[in-house]
Amino acid sequence: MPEHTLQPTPARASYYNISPDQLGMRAADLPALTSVKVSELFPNRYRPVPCDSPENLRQEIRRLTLVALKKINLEKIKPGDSVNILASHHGFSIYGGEAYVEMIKTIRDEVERRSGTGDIRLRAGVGLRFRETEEYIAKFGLKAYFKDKAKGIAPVDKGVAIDTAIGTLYGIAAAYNARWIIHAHNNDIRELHYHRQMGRLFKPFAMSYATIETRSSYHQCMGPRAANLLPRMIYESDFIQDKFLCSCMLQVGPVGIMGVDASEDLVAQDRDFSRLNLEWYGKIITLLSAINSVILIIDYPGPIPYTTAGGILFGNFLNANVDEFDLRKPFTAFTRYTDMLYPDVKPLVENKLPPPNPAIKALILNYCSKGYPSTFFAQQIPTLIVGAQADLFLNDEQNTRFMEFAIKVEQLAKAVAFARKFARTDNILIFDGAAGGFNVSQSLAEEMRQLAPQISQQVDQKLMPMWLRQRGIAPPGARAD
Amino acid sequence: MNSVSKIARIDLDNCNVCPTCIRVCPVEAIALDKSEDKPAPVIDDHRCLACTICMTRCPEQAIHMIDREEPLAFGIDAEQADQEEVAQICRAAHMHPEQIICYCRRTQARDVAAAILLGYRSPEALSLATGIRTGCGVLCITSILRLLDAAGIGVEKAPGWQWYGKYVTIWQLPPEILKKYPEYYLEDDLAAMNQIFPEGE
Repeated sequence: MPEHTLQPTPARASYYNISPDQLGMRAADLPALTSVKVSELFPNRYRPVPCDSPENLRQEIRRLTLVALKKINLEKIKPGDSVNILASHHGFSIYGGEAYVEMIKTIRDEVERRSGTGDIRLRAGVGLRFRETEEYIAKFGLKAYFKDKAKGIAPVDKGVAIDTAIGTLYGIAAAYNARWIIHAHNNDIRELHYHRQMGRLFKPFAMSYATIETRSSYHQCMGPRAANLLPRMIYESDFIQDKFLCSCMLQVGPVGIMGVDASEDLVAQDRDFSRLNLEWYGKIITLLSAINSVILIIDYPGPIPYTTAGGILFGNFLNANVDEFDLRKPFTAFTRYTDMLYPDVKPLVENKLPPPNPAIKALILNYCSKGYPSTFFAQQIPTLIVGAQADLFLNDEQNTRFMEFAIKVEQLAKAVAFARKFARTDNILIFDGAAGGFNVSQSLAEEMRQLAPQISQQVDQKLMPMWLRQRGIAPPGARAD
Repeated sequence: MNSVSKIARIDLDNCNVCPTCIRVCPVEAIALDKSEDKPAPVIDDHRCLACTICMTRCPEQAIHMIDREEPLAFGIDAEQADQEEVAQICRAAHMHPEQIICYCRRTQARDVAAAILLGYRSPEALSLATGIRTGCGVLCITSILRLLDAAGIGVEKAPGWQWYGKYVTIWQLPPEILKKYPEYYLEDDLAAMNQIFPEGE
């Protein structure tokens, strides 16, 4: 790896990926690349949890989790009561997953210590790759840690009806088959194009913990902002309120793990985290939106839209030509509501949808997971796919037509050379999960450094006050509307 | 016509007859064979559309995918259905006929509406006829249910865990909810959805 690039997320052995030995070259090893750190672009007062060694990170996360749980009345749990700790797949992939795992283990131990119950289960949900969480449970030894009471749950599993103020929705029965539930999650900005930072912390109630009708209602029946009402309605149902003990959140930002927070009031906690996420992610996303020409390389063991650079998803870069934080805007370029309207390269409705970020001149898939419907991306963006990765997508039941729109190239370096010719830009941005920054070409690094001061000013003076007001949060030195 | 080149196979030595695979299959391709001393799940080769849901949910990891000797073709000729009726069903369901409702197979609303008119009357039958919901198996179920509702066909519950039949849409939200939760932009999204999708009947 060149001296000036950041370490990418390691390749992962998984049913959903090519095997690590099929991966010819990591994008960070391409010649003439460099990196730019988020803290260099936007210095601020927040400091990540030190992670100089895995053991030190685990100790610090355990300490922070215990501090956070002090304000939770775990004594409500009686000896013999059953407790389900609800988790989601994504947490296991954040900065290697060790911090999320340690938070979950600590919750388990503290519940046992303070309540005396031994019936503590882990129920970990998935996205659209139903075996993924079981892979994480095995990788992190959670089955043994939970004394054989840890399992992955999926939206096609047996459901349970939940009566809400807007009608019957469905949860996964195994998520809720306990006297108490603890919502063990994180604030990662992740799918901003879906949650729009409105109820981010509630979302798993309509996703990881829900069956297909509820997840489908979210993506196809409600609207791009209104969909976020569904998890809130489930959370506020009598069924959940009777079981809900607390939430415990791993705090993450673009520069790393930021801490742990627990609360018995998810509404209040979500509001606090909305403000933090706007502070932590607002400038970096706005900076990405100012890049006007770039070749993207995907090189991360996750599905295309969930690959990250500087803590930001490819999915957000695809939408970066629209301010996703601005709640006045209903439709961004890519959501499931817009994907629906593109049977071809042009949408079924004219002049009502923003196009996918026109700054993306080429997309190179060097390494990513199968198991997320992504044909839209190849249909809209010139897409090159490298080596064995193409064969993986050729046999992906969720991308049955993807390879009709993508071109296979045998080597990454050749794909980059080809992309440079037709994209007519030297700007390269790699989505490889590098922590705390971006692996980029020299030209893009310079451009980002030049843009950062004016972006910082724009966010501080104009955008942040608007984003906060739209969420009913008082800007610094002002009163809420 | 579409086709699949893979098929699921059950390793009966590892199968515990639980029967998760039967309950999650979106095309009812798996049934319990009780003709032998020991009951066992069997896969109907003419129905399996290789979605892999049974494989990824099998608690014993006793199911794997293999290549078919010959690809299995599936699909319907949507032109055989009355196109005006197809358009009416889609409109009543707030859908453009050409709208993609299954992102994995790129199935369009008109294909499913036509299949309903041609006699496929359940989500499982529609999946087998068109391929819809044989990718991720998650995101498109409400569109299938909405089209069936729009065609006046009531369904109650799947035979297994595939679906439970109830769902929520923005077009059905109670007025008091629209007023109570303004922070979710419900009235604005209702207007936006009505600009983008057909207004229904």
